[in-house]
Amino acid sequence: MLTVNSLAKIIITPNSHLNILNNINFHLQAGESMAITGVSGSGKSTLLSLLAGLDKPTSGQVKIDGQSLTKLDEEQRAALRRDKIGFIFQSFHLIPALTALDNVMLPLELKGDKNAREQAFNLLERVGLSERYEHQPLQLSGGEQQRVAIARAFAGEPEILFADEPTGNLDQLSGENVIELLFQLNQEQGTTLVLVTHDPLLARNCHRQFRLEQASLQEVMLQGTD
Amino acid sequence: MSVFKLALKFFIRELRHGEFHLLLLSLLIATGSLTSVSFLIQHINYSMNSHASQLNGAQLILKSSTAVPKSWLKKAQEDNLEFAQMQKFTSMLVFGDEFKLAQVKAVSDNFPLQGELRIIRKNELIVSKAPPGGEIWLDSRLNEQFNEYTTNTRSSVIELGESKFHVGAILQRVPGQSSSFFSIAPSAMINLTDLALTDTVQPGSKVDYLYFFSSSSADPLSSDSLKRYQKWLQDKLLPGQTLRSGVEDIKAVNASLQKAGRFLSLAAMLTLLLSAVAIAINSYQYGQKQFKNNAILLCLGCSEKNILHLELFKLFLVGLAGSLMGIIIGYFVFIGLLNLIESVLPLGTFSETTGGELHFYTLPIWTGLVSGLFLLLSLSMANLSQIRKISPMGLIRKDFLQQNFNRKWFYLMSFSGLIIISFWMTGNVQITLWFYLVLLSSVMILYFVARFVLYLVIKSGRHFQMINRLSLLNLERHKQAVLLQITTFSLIFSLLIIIFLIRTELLENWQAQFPKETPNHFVINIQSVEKQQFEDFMQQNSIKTQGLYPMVRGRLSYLNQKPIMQAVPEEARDHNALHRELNLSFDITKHNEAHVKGSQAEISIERSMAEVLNIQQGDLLGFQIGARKIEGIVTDIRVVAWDSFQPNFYIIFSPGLIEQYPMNWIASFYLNTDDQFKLNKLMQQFPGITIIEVDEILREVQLIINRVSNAIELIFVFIVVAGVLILSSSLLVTLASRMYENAVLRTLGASARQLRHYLFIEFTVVALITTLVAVVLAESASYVLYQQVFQMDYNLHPQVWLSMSIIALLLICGLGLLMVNKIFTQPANLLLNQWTE
Repeated sequence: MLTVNSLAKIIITPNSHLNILNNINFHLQAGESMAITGVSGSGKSTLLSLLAGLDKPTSGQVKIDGQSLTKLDEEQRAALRRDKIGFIFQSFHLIPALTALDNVMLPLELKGDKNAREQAFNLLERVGLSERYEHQPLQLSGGEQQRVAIARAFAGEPEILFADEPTGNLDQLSGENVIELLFQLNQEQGTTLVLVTHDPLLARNCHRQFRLEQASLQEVMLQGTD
Repeated sequence: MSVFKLALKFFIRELRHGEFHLLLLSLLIATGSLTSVSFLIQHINYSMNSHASQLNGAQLILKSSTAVPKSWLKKAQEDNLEFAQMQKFTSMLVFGDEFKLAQVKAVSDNFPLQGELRIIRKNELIVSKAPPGGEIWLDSRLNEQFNEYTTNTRSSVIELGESKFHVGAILQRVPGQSSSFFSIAPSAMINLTDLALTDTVQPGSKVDYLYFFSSSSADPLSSDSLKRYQKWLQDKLLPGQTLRSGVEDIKAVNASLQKAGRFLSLAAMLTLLLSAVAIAINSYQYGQKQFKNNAILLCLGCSEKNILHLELFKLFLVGLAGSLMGIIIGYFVFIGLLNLIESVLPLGTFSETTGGELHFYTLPIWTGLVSGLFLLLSLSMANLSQIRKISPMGLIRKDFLQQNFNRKWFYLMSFSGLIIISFWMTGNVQITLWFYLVLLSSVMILYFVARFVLYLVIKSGRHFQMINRLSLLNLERHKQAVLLQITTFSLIFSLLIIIFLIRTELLENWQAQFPKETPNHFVINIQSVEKQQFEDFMQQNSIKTQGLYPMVRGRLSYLNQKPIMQAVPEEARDHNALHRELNLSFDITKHNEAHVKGSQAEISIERSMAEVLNIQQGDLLGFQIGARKIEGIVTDIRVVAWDSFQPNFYIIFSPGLIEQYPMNWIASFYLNTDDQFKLNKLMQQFPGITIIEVDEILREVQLIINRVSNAIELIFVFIVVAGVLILSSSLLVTLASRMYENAVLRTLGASARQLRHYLFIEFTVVALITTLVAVVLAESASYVLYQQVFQMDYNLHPQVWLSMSIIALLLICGLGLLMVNKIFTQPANLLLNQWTE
């Protein structure tokens, strides 16, 4: 589903070359989930951006479903995101002017789905927010906003879902609820999941764990987990 | 650390991080445009005054019926002022055995101090100072009579009193000549040193002593000393002595200047409004951004008072920086405008009138600085007032703050600030009040119109396809912001429409006051017995007159039975009309200014004179005509267009009272240069009449109109540029939230085409509603301006509606799409990162 070959990202500053990512290689099967951990500033979010086609690598390639992202232009990558990719962000990135329902409808509407409203409402029901569908993001708590974001991420029925610190801005209880919901929906839809996290609990829920250190990615061998 | 130091530190840090770049930019545009317009107005005033001084021959003229004490002139010398003298009297010039009555001007060597004394010597036009000793210069009419005489006799000597003079040149233009239409007889000029030898001036002779004063060009500080000297003289004036300065005595020029001033102050006020809109938007946005920082400071133990001081200091620094940069830019824009004006002026240049020097005016600098700071503070006051109301938690959650933001307070503060500055700038209460009254009521009505139209658009648009639905949904969700945006844009557009209409129509109308055949000659001293013959002569020679008007010379001597000097306010006692005989007229039914009521002894008086002398309707005025006294009751107060070049009168009687007194008639007519020979025919047939050529004054007035037209057109261009800049800065501010939304949509996979389409629909709706509101506002505001301020007919302007729609679409959609263009070119994560806290 997701194949990464010799991926590198170098940032050139006036005084130096900053190696953010160096020679990253891995392959993820459809339906698998992976967690990327690492200290702050290790380049986790940059890696996620490259994997999701939000940014361009300096070298190497990323393939989703056999399609190389590096060969696509911005428009083609946008189309790929619309059709195959879902996102969950640490700071939710809901549109403040729209209601919870409108926010969940967005990916469906972008695809031109005729039943956007109905499907979005079902998803809100699924994340337990059917009562609050008319509320705007600022009227919701952090946990609720992230649940809306999860509903939005799954609305387009993506093949692969990228989550950047999905519990980073939440208290423990809300965080646990969000994790539970995320994995439930992931299982239901059979989505491939890539998530970046500091949270060991969240990382342990994934099939595979990787650690990003000094610009290179190492898989952590799991012992005695389910 | 003191609050000020902290504020300075924050200011530098925020400046580096671009926190208030937009605010600074809008402030810079505001003060820049204000300062450059103000510089330009100052310069135009200066050069027009200077031009008028050239017309007068000096900056200040003292006229006296006796020689003034030597100490007065000594004082002028001590004050470092330049001065010249003229003695003016009527005397006989003798050509052999022919006698000609002429007004003789004996002038000191350095006459004129300013302006040009143009003479024709040996068929060559030259600019000169006073005639050398032994020479007499004649004006063209005297010269023709003299030539006729010399052709017959071959003698070329003219006698004046006991002296003989050689005719050295023909007077072409004499500064100071245009001050009064009725004092000019055929004139001759000699040097003052020759005057004593002629023995023509004896004790008891009627001589006008004129003293011309100007600040020394070598001493830049002497313009202040001229003002001080003028004040010093004013206290010493005796009856029969009058002072005049600058343009105030040239009524036609003065009336034009007043109109010019009104146009320019209107233009300046519009610039101010445009800028204020941008400052208000940006200071609001900047204030909103600061709430979070302040909440953190509150949490860290900073008191509300300290935060308030901190914000005030920071605003002061922003205001100071923005205003100072604006003033510098404004100065350079002014220099640029000046070069442009000079190159496009059809008649002469400013540097010609100012002697090539560019004065550095201090008033516009203060105007820029004070208005910049005042505008920023008054427009930020509402934000500052919020600091005390909100708890740290509420501040962190911006929703709480937005719900509690008191918009009424914001609008009230902003509006009061604007009105105060407008008064200060224009100095015209009537225009300012009307302008804002119309503006405020129109904006209020049209805000609701816009709201209703927006509601209809959203409602009808619900059934559109997906992406349109998103645009409309967005419009609905941002309704308040969109309405604010529409109101702001429509304000800018309507201001541009108003300026455009005023620029073209008012100027055209104004220029139309001087059609090609505006009278350029006046004839006075037509005797009643000659009246019919005169009219016949004019008809036979195809010269169109504007009619003949009777004149009776009389002195205003009583007001409500009291001697006039006691009855008028003390400050009015120097008024020219009290120190000379007035030309009283009557029964001028043909006169377009006439408002005389039918019964006997009714008087119509000119408004400015009535105001200065505090004469009201119903007052009884007494006039001395010769040895007799007549009376009349004021029943009408008239506005006289002094720049109309028609015979105008201060006092008009109802018929039946003053006809019995000796009178003569006045007429005005147009004569083109080729027909000038008809003047000599006229003089031959009516030797007693006096012809006054007012070509020079007419040319001056037209020059002023041309200059002001050019200046206004340039200011219009400048305002349009400022408007576009302000429009983009306000778009940039309101586009921030749209950029975020588009970044999210882009991440979710929206294509560039989808986003462009969605933005295009949104901007189009805003542009069209904006045009609608702007056009209605502009038409109604212009209607009131035309009717109330300029007294002109008003028509609707459908061609402006169409062009405005196109401009609004191009501008709002074009600028809007251009500004969000990076959404389509940058990787989605970069866009989104900008919004990640």
